[in-house]
Amino acid sequence: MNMIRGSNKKFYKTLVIIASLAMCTAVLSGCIGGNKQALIQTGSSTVLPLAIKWADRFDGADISVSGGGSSHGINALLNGDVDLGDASRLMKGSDYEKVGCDSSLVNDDGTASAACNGIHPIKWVVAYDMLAVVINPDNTWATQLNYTQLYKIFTDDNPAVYWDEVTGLDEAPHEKIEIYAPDEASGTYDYFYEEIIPKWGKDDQQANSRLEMENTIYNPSADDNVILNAIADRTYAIGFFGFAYYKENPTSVSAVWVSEDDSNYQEPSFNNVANYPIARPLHIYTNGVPESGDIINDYLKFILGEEGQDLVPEVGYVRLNLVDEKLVTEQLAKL
Amino acid sequence: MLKFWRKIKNNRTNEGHPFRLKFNLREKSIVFLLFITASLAIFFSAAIIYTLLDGAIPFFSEINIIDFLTGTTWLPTESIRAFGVLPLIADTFIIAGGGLLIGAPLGIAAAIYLSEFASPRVRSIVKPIIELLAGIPSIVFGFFALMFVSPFFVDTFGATYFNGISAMIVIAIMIMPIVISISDDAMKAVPNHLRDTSLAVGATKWETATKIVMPAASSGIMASILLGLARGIGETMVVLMVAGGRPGYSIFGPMLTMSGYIGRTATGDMPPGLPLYAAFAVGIVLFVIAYGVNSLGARIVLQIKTGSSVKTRSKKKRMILFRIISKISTLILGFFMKIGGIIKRLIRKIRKAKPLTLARRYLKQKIGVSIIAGSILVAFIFLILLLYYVFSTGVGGLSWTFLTSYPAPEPERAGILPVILGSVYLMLLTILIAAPIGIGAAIYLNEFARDTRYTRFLRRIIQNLAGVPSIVFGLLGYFFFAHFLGFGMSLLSAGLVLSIMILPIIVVATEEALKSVPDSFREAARGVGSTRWQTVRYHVLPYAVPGISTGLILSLSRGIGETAPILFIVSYFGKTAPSGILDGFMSLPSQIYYWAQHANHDFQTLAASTIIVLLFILLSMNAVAIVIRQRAQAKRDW
Repeated sequence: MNMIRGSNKKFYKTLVIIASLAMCTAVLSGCIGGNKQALIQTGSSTVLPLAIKWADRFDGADISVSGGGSSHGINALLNGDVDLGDASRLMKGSDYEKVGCDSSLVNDDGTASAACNGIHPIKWVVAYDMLAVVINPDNTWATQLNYTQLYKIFTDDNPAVYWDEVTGLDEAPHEKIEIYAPDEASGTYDYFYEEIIPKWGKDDQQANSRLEMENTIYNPSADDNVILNAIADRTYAIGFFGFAYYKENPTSVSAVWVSEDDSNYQEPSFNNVANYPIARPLHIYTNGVPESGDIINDYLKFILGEEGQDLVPEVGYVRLNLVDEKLVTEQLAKL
Repeated sequence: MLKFWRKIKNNRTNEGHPFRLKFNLREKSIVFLLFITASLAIFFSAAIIYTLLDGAIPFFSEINIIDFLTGTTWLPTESIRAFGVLPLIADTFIIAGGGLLIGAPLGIAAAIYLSEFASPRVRSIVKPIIELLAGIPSIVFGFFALMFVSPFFVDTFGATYFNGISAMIVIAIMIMPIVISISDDAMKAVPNHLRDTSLAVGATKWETATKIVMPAASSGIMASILLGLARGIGETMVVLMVAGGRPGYSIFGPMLTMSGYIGRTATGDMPPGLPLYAAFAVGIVLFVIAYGVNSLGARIVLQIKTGSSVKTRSKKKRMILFRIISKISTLILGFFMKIGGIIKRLIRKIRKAKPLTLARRYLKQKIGVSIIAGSILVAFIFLILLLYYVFSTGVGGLSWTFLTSYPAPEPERAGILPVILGSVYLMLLTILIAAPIGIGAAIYLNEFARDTRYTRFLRRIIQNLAGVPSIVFGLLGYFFFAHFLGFGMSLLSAGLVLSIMILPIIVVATEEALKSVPDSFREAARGVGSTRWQTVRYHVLPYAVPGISTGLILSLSRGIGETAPILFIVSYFGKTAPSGILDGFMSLPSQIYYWAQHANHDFQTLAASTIIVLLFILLSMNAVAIVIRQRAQAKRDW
């Protein structure tokens, strides 16, 4: 009997130990956590490094940041799961449709004319991302390319096999083109093709990516390092990735000057972002315009303000005022 | 009404009716509560199926299911809409099957050595090594595959940066511990008199092992192969990190498995709509395949454990099924043996048969034993390589700052304190949820449940939860708990998912602990008039506590290392640990995953440092479990 009581006591002892342990950690976290408000931010993996940078420097709140893609970010916001949704693309009707709302409520500029399930997503443009088309430094014939030529190289619509088959590059060597670029799971891929293929993503899309051909010469990779190394090694290779990555490695590959038509070729650089054609805005979506005094309001002011914008080039993206001075003031006026 | 209460009261005091069975409200409600905890497993399984169907139905309303199942092109974009799942299934089986082809023979050989030849001393050294290998989280294998194995194949064989072969090799090693432990158990279960008889008629130990013990244990070996295959099919993190993003049939090129695709929807910038819904459709296929393979294997294991193949119910069907399984397994093993025989005969023909002398038979034994002992060495070398690589890469990053700061965007400043705390809270929450449910269910099943159709159903459901691939739990976590139930991307959602995931482990461990308490204890307690609950509470549970706590700790150490189930809801940055269960959180394995793939390569060093911390925590937990087990065994007085 005694022995049973003994082990009985032990049973409770372990319970007490576990309970007190739980208490201890709860208290501990209280101390470390402070009384700051907690925000959750999720979405585009393109925005992720920038979001982490801002969350790191912003002192007003404890912000948990995760990735998962633009669709995930918008979807999570519309579901009320998160406070801030990151997106490297505009919100589309299909995002509304997915959570059971009318897709016609979403305007073409990525804003919504009415709330969905009590959540009214508001778009904030927070930075710009440029895309660099890159070639080997020994490549002297394709230092500038227009959209027609990019179309001929990167799509499956009667594509050029040799460099001299590309429209307007008759002087180029008779060598096979090799493509090293992101795979279709990456936002950069979608964004590039949205630019060069008319009606990309619509039912009457004009052509497909060259990646989707049989026996393709398109080598997809999810790792920008692979793309960089491959193009640095191969004279006849071409590819693209985020400008941030090119900026880190400006000597091993060269960036192509791009033009939408056949005039006016533009260099990809921070200062030239307003003219460079393949640049896109990065967004954060919030539920309604946060009222002044709200921590989200403070956070957006921080992001759009000098301090937040100063951090943007550190991650390799472009400050808003380099594209359009009004963007900052207009958005700040709403807050 | 008053009368009713008085009646209950009278009944409870049992006044005047010493021999009447009393109505005991307390007892009844406790048993009912236990019954409910056991039945929760049905709810969990239903939640998994609901999650998968809810996502797959919009997919199949647009894509013909036949096209999906028979299509041979996988280009999951909104415009092309080539959703043929066959390439994904093929890649899954190439990687898992290839892993099995390497891992299973090594594992079986190691098991033969351990069960038939190893001395107790060797066994006591090798067993913990195998357990260690089994306890390493898949994110660590993934990191090693990405940083060490894959570059090797890129440099020596010209493989692409992402390739199937690295995943295959690493999965082979991951499969080994499963194959070893189950095959070992199966061979241990072969009655000794078979060995004695064989040795007595003059067979060598080698001949006994290969010609008597192995065939006798063939169904168990088959089960170990099936369970290993299920592990390979369900593996997510390794394929997600090294295999690549497009299906292809060359192992030196990129490959995409089913779990890999689902994982990518959680991490890439997927376009909305069909490509995302496709993850659920793929999830169903993966679920069905892994579930089938796993439950087939688990059933064979159960049949070996319980000794007889079938119990009283619906005999014919089960008998037929079992016969088919054992037929298939003997057929397959027989096939290999036949091939072996043919080769042997060929060799003999070429070399002109020499008489089979005793010396030659012993030579054969010597060679055979050294070969199978060598297979253990393979696992051992791999483990050493992995640990050495991780430590040599990561030890430099370990510093006080690293352990006390938060994961800042610059590697010099980055640390993991809130990440460690996040993992610890997650563990506490998981145990708070899983322990009552798991222990309650086990007590109900072992002590109270009668052998009804419902109980058998419950057992099967709980058992089969163990066969659900971890990435499917990931879908459950986000789409069911975080979204459908509205818990958000929080600690609570993650705790619930991990709880369900480790539930089967807790139930099995608790049941074994309860079974190890002799029935005479129960009979004695019942004999002096204890109720059934009193018997369990005061005469069974106290003795099972060490076993149960060991099981809890081991199941937790499994949970803390998991990445895939929380892939959709975990955060990669935060300055502080969560202060409430509805806060966002970080965890060690996910931080490793994020940093291992960071564009800034200094973060990969930090990933290795984080692995060291994670392994340290896991090892400490295992050490505690071992201490508890040993102390309990030393104290045991029956």
